[in-house]
Amino acid sequence: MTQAATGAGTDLVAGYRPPVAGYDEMVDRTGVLRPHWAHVGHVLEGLGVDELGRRRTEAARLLDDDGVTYNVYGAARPTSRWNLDPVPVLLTSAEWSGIESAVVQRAELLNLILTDLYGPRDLLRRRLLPPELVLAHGGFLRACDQIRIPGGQQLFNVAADVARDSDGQFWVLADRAQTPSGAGYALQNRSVVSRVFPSLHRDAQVHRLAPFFRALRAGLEAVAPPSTREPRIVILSPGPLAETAFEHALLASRLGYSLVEGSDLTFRDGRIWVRSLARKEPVDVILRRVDSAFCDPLELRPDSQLGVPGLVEACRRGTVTVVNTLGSSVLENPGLLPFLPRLAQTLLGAELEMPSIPTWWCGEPAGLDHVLTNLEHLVLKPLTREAGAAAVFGWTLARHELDDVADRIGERPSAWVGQAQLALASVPTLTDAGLEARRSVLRTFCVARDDSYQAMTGGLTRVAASRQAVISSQTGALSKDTWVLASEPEKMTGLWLDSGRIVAAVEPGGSMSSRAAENLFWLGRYAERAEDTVRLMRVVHDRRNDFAHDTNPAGKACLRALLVALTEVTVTHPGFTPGGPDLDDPGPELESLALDDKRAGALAYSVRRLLDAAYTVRDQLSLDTWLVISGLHRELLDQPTLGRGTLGQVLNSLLALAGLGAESMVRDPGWRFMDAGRRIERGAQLAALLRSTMTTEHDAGTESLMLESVLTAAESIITYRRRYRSHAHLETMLDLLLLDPDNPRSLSHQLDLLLEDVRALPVASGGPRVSEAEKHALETSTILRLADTAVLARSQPGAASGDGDGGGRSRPELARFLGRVIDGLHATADAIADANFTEQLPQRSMLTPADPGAARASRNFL
Amino acid sequence: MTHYRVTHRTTYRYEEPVSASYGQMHLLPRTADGQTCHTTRVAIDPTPDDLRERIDYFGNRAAFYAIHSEHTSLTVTTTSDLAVNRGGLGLLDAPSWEEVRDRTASPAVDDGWEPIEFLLDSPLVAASPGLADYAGPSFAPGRPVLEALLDLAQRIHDDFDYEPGSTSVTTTVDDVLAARQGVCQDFAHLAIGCLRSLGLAARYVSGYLETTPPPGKEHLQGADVSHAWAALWIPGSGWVDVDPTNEHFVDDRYVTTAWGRDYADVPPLKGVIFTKGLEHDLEVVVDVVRLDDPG
Repeated sequence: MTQAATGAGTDLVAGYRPPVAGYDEMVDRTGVLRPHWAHVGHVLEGLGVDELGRRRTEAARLLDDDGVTYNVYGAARPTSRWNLDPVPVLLTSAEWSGIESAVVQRAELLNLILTDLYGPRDLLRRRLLPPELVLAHGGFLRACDQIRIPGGQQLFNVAADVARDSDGQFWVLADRAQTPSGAGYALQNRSVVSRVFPSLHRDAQVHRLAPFFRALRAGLEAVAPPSTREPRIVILSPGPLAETAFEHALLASRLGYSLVEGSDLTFRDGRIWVRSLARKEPVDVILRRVDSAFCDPLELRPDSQLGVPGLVEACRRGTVTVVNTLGSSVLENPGLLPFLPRLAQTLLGAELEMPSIPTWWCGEPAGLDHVLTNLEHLVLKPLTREAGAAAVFGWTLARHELDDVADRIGERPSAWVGQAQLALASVPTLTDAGLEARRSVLRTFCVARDDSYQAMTGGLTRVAASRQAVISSQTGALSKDTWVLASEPEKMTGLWLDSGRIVAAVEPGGSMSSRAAENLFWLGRYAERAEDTVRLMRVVHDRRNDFAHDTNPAGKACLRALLVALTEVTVTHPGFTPGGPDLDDPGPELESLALDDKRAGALAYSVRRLLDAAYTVRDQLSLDTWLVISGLHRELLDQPTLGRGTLGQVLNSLLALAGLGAESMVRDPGWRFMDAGRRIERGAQLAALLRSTMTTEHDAGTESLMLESVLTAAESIITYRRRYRSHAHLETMLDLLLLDPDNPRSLSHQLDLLLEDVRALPVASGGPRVSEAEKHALETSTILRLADTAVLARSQPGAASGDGDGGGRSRPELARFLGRVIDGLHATADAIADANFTEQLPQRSMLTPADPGAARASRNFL
Repeated sequence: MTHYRVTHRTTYRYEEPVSASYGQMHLLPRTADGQTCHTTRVAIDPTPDDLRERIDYFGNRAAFYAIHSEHTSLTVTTTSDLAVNRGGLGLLDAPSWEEVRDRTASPAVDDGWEPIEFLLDSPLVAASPGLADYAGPSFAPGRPVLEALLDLAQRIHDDFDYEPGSTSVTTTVDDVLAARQGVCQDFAHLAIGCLRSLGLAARYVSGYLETTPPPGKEHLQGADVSHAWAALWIPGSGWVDVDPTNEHFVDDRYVTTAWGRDYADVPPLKGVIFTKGLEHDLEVVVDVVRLDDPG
């Protein structure tokens, strides 16, 4: 094989140089490919470094297109791309079955510990665990005591980070039991890598991931409260800014569950409900991605805005099942590691199959002694993972820093552990120069199944960001797909097959939270607002090119009027109205209106809001949407200055988004909200543009240019020219823009569609026959139907507004008419919001002191 | 045997309407050594949509309520009938505080694991060298533990000013030590912090103190309110309650409601509400009435 590699003319594999003393996954100590890498190694060699670089770019593009992100805390930009090295890590069936058996055994052991700690606590009574090790851990939540979930396991899912040392022996580095993350990213990695290396993936006979996700679905149904027949399952997320928000949405859409936030849920009648459109839907199972302590502001952290007051009580009563069980992070305690071998003996009657990384708990004299005498060789970790209490690496510290750490440990020894540093095995990692050996860790995933656990075949491999770096997704680690090679080809299965009985379809809208509906409504409004703004900006830019250096007075007047219109339509006063910057140098203000995403009314602001709304409802949008979203980021939000093509590119993306809305979304209530938002916004923007430009009469030359500009901004100039073939004329323009039901840009068309939308929205039973929203839309539609464009186009002496410069004639009928239309559209929007979007009052915590004498000092809520 | 009826009424008046209210109370006296609670009635206005009692992690009675109707004030009234008979303290001379400390540090399996809970830091009370220094003069070498405990309570009473409004529900014990003033829960926390800093297990007890001063006795501070004090674990014999606010051991004039590691485990009432308002007024009225033996 090495011969073949050399024969291919590159040194990709032959030139691969892992550390001499270490273990490498791909080659043995003599540099020869391990047998199970033969095929993949050969193919990689054949592709060569340049082609692999192209495949990596392809993978990055696919991830971008799918909108795969991992949010880094405190970053200036809210999202960053998920880092994937497309070269997979390979494991043989035999290697994998050893890992699988060990992590399943470990899940069983951790389950028994968890069950005991929130139950009888025999482990403390019998001193199998030192009581203070558990009692002093931040994850031990006393409020969650004695909560039991249905089924044999209290621990629903768990992840173990495993790695090899330099001898090839596997160790468990850490357990993740709070809300184990990464399974969704593993699925996404597989999807990308199998597209980037299609034939390699097919020929390598890789075990599939789908069975794990089927087990996850089956497990979630199995833990539902016993009286439930068809459990309603939701995924509870902290929201779109959470680190792994992408994964929450991915799981929701792949598994077919609703993605909710704490404020979407409410405790009532002894159980938990989703605040859905028009009515509440009961919830039976919550797959939680919010840390336990944040899940209930009443009984857990009172400052949490991510939880549901009453959730702990509902769990206690068994009317809802939360997994992982509230309080499960008590298992994320490195101090437990030294005790696991003995617990495995006592509880399972077996040896621990895979050892944990050597760990010493400082709460025991022997452990403390070992840690203090070996500080410079150890990783020193607080028991509880919290912000501000990070692990420190003894070998990176100066003498005085080591002394400081020794003092901190000495103050509260039981709060610390020391851990050995393993020389982790390396994996080939693609760099611009070729394959580089980097340290790696494999995250394995287990989910409860029957009376044991099912492991994902493979997992998420993470690789250090550089030769030296610590492995953490927060600090930019790369991820890799992990291939467990089947000894024979496996049957192709999807996530959906073999799921058994047919379940009743979820009623549309029933399971949609009112927050999701609200975000879709605003998605529609901001998308349309951005589109209308960008069209108007393009017209302004064109007119600047035509007339900025011209002496044509009509052209100059038209440009000025359009600049004023831009300010008025986007409500960004003073802008180009009196009191604003110099009209002769509009460049800086125009750039600000395009790019300032903090300025309400600016194009970038609308786009930012549109993206925020999209991230919040990402489980509702088609996958192609993320192609457009990443485009908008690139083309507008990441631009430091306004380039020549920027507006055109942004318009392109917005049109694509509109097209997806029209062509790729089911006409369910969610779509109706989005479309209603779009119609209201388009109608209101058009009316505002006409009000700003046409209610004051200009001289004939200016008027003609203005009419042409407005028709262009309203995307109706071609139709107008074809239909009227004459010079622009206000009355015919109003016919086309206001009254023509066949012009998809006309006001009348917007109102027709808006009426359809509001009639299709869900209504509460027993509500009025005609909803408030429909009433307002109908009234506005009637005003429009009764309008006479000849009357509207009439002018009379007197300026429409105080700043008129158009020779003192105005069109009061048109101004009044447009004002009524705008008011009617806004009233419709408000009525939709009132009826469907539950306005949540702010959440406050209160606490009565033991001695109310203290109360006088605490009139404010906490 | 002394019989009491305790009535505890808490009223919140809100600045703005409240659309929903969820709460948890630790207002129902538990039955414990030297105390039997016969009946408790809970009345909440507005009428709650949900109300359920349970036993919490520490064995206290806790109750959950939920209100879904809009309201601008909330009143929670509990009325409990109890009998108290604590008996006397028989071991003022022994053991020494160091013996207690050493046995607490490595408790026998028979002692259970629970006292260890009260030796560790808790949300509002962390051991510190400053607290150990303050406690030092009371805990001379070889001194019997109860004598030392009473001395600590007396010194807290003498050194700290009872000053309503000087602290809040989130004041930490180090703040109290620095400010030299506070209310009963602060003094209880202070005593607990001193004891934990010396390696002794101490817990926080909330409850009531009988209001009417017996003839010839001075009026007790903290009367007419809910009250709080500290208790010390003595391996082999149990918990000894002491009231640093009033510098004496707890006797039959005291009614225990609940205990925990500190105030944060057992606030009389805590809640989450939904409102635009930022402020509220709080009024608490407590009556502790001695009953004739109901037979």
